[in-house]
Amino acid sequence: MIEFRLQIDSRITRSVYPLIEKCFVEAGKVSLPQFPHVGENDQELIDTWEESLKNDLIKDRQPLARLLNEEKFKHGYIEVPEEEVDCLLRSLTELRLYVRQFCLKSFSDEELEQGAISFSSKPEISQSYYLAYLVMAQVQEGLLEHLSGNLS
Amino acid sequence: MIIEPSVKEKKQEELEIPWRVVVLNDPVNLMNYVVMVFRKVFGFSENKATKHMMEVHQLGRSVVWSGNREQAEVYAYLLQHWRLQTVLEKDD
Repeated sequence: MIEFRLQIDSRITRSVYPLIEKCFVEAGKVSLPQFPHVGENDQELIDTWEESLKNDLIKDRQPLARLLNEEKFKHGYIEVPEEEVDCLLRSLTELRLYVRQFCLKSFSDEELEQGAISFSSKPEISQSYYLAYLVMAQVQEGLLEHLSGNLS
Repeated sequence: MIIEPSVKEKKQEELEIPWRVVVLNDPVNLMNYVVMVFRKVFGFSENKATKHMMEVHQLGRSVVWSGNREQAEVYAYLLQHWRLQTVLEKDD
């Protein structure tokens, strides 16, 4: 079992938890990556690819659903079985991509990449979504720290 | 008279020419996440994975593998599963 505590005030985690939960539900309904060869015209191949990817991503969501249902998560404590780390990392990425695309439209790519954000110039709801985005990134950082020890 | 190659012949040709697996930059994925994915998918060393990640970050794209189409598709699928923006290109 991997256990760690987020380096974020737990009041922030608790306050953005409903947004994370809402995005988790909505992210399951949006479109998936497309077949990566732009000129491909084999529709059967494209359909098979996308269906398979969709099923894999649905499987990945289950560990994240479990984590979000844990009361401890709202207080910044993360507990994850080792065998679920890869799925969890992927589903958190999925969720952060969703938040970026649909909830952080007022942020530029440069702002997100460099973290240099004029926070007060953003709408209040965008500020909250950005905090949710950071909480999810922190969970990923904690999991990656654990994995870096295993990969080296 | 010019005889058009059959669909099957075209397919075979496509399989034989080299293909590139290209990862594109995005503002969401963490740098150490991208390094970890490259290491897991391709078995790259830390240095090699970091080099490709920096290419993606600074140049907007990195060719992470090239070779036959079937294997290129396998890698592209795995990278997309990890939610990295990936495209396949013919290696002309």
